[in-house]
Amino acid sequence: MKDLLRDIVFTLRRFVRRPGPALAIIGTLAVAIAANTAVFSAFNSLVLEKLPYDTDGTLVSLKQVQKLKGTDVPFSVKEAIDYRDQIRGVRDVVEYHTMTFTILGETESTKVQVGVVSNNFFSVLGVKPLLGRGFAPDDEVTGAEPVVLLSHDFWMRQFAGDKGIVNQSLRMNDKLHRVIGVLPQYVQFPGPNDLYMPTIGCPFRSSDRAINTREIRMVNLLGRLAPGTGLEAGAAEVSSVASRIHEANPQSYPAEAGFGSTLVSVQEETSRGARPTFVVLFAATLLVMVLACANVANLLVTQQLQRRKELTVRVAVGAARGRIVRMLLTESLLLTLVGGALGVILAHAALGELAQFASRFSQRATEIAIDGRVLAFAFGMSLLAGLAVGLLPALSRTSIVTALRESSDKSTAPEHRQRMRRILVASQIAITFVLLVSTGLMTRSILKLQARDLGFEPTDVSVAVLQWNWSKYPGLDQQHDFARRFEGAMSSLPGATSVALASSYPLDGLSETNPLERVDLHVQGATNAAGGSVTPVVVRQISASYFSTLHVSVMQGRAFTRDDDERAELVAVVNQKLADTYWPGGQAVAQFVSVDGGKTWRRVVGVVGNERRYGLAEDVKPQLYLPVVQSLTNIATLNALIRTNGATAQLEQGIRHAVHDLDPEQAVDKVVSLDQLLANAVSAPRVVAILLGSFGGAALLITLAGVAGVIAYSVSLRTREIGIRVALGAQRSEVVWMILRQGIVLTAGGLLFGYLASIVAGNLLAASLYQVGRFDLVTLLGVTVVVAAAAIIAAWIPARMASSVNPQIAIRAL
Amino acid sequence: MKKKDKPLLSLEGVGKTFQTDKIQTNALSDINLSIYEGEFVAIAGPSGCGKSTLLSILGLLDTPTSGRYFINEQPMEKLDHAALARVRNAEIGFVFQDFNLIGDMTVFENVELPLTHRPAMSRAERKARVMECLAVVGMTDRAEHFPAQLSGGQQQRVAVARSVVGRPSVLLADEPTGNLDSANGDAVMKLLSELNTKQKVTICMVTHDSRYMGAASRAIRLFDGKIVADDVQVAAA
Repeated sequence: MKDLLRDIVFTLRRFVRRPGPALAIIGTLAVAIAANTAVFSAFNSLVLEKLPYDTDGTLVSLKQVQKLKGTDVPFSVKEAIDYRDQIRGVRDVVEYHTMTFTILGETESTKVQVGVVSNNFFSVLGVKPLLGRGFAPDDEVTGAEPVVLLSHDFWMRQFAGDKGIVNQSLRMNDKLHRVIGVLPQYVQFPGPNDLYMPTIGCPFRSSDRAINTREIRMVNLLGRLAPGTGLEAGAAEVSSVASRIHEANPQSYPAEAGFGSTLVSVQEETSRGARPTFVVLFAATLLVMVLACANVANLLVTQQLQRRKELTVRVAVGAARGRIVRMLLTESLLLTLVGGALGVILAHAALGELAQFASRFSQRATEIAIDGRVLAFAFGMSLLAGLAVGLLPALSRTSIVTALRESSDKSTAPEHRQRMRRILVASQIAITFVLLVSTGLMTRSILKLQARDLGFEPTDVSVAVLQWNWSKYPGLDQQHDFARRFEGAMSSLPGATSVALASSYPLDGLSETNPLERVDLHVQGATNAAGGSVTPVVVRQISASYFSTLHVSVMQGRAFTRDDDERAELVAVVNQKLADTYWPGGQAVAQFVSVDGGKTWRRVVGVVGNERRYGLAEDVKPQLYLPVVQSLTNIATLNALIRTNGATAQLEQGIRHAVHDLDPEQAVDKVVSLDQLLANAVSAPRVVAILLGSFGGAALLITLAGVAGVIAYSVSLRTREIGIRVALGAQRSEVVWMILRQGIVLTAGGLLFGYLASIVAGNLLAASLYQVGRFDLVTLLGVTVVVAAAAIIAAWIPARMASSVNPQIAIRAL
Repeated sequence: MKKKDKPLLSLEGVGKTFQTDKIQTNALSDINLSIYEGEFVAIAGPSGCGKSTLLSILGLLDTPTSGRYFINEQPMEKLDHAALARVRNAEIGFVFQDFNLIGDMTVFENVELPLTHRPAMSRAERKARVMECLAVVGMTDRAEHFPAQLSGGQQQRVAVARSVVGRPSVLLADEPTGNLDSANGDAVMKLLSELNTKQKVTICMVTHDSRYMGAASRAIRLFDGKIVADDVQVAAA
């Protein structure tokens, strides 16, 4: 202990007397540990940390798949009851779905997202209300008073945290709903909602039609694994129960549809989105950490070269090898622990930005924090770094007498120390290469994405999104009437040059597997090999000016016109992909298709160009367009696509006023621009590329300093030799080449290891790449040229200085 | 001289060979040497004759390739690193040509350094020993100074104090005046002589300077790794 204290005092004194190297080491480690801690805090919160209401990992989600549609489908009420009654391995099966309601205010109506849940939903999650009470079984019976619970955010936002809100009533659509409580602040699951109501409060879920059929599927099911039941056993039981249900109700589950059910861990489900990106970032920051450690080890080796005499004296006066190692470790650990503490502070400062970035991948981004595990990680990393950078030089196998000779004999270069420094710098080159190759792959991938033809022109197009006030517009007639008036009002907005309506819009975040976006298409007169068998296709209901507003080209036939209304012949337009799929010969126009199982048939009147509707990386899908006023079922969302002349400053306000003027009880959900959506579509990979690029750039600078340092040190050791060579007639260029050759060998060695390591990096990134191979030759060669050129320039500077050595002075000086 | 006594240090047929690439160099060959308590031995010879190698072996900083080495009749070849470190600490003191004081330690701490490896010694005893040694070399008033604040001669006096603070059996000095001007060199030699005569410290010194050979009681000359002369200078002693 006395020795330890003495070492600490001695180390601190050295830091104070010569702060430069210590600050360089602490700064390097602080940045590296900050990057690692920040990324680990996100990885920890999004992937490792148990959900607050699933600390025992028993929360599960039931999934129903329909193989024909290639998608998950929700459950019907009947199915929910069946599973709840028949599964023994999952207890407390609860329902969840969302609905949009409109809270009617005096001046403006507010659209709210409502979670519709079973009465025991919150007790299953273990969430107790902050104010008032939770739902009770009596709240879920037919004829019960409509009640709601407020989410904490909504309570604060809408009612400024007024505790008197309990027992007040809100007018939502056509009913008064009594607020019975306020939920605490917690990460809402499965998604954030403004309010919650019992299942009986949803007019669709509680309708006879929904209750008495298996085909109206709208609810999600959650539950807890029963004690002693594992996920696999639970999933097997769910699958077995599903088979029994299917056998008992064959008309609802035709074999060709491929229905099946299983169980997934909620923990696994929520972390899936963030895992690939943060694994890549975590790997990158670990590489930065290794690089920083290599750099620090290099600095310490240099320091020890300067301290050889001191260490030799310590040995000479009786210090055992272990004592010396302990002293050097104390020094390195002190440095890394201070660096680690600073790193945690830096990481804490970066959490806000990180959470914003992470929100693209996970709804749990708000949970990102520096907790005990993150602190333990930072401490462990600092400790490991301290051991690594301290042990490497401390365990150098130099005998005392060699060290004595090195310290007294100025003509002898400590070759073993130089070798270690070269190995460290070569490893830095390899790491830099890997980081820059990763950046290059991501950048090329983004460029390829951005260069893709979208099939429409997003510039200057804004979208006004409306969720129906369904109690006001329950039927098709009312919806069609409002749609026409809505389109007219939008066309009158200042700056609007073209307006169209659509049931969905490009890049709106819906997935191609969303059931609302898919229909089973029946085709007459198909000429493809499959003979037009029933296939799910993407469908969109649009107004006549949709194609002209978005500049989607009409390839054959015609676009819709205003005459294609509810009284006219049912018509459809198909995209080129769909036309090519069913009518490869180009005979799509005038063929007939059906989206209701053959009850009605629509004439195909045109073929349009392919839109990349789901995102830049998605392949084009067969897509069907129907006139919005010819829709046979209710439309969930109505969107106005508004092309403007660029003047959008007052657009959103104008839209909201116009809709309020049309109907004060109809709220505008949001107004977005397609340009912004397009930017968002590549923002996640762009940020990943920027982060990797930043790491790579920093790594390159550190590495170049390392290369220059090693060569400069080598030159200083060989000054006498160089002087002698020059005195004997060596040309400057020969001296430069002699020194530069070391840099080239060093760089080549580093690049060789870099190539091997980039194989691993390419595999890690593969899932995030678009049209770029994981071993992209252009990227590999480009980065090779950059790293090699930079490293050789870094080596050339000391080599050039070596060539200017005055032989007389050099020889005399030694 | 106490040649009838048992030797303090004893080398029997010691040889040392260095292998560099494919070239073998015999630094020492068949060295037989005994150094007795209270002797002041000067080792001289031309560059490359093996003086420093001999001193390294005597100081347990290096091991012989052949032969045996005894300190107080105890063989050294079987001792591990830790045991060798303990013997170095207890039995041997070093004075180097270029002083080798640790720049980040005060004079007091530099002198105290060998004692810090003796866990049984109390702090008070350490302090007393250090101050005693600093008084012997006349550096008491510089105890809190750092080496950079001292002249070369003063630094070497501190180094001498460090070498004797542990009360070693033998003090090994490698060209202790090599980096000093003549006045400071003379002062350091006077100090070593006083240590030998008054405090009976056994000294083994490598030197190039013939002026200081006379200070020793015994002069050993090396040539090509062999002892070519071993003279007792009774008068000088």
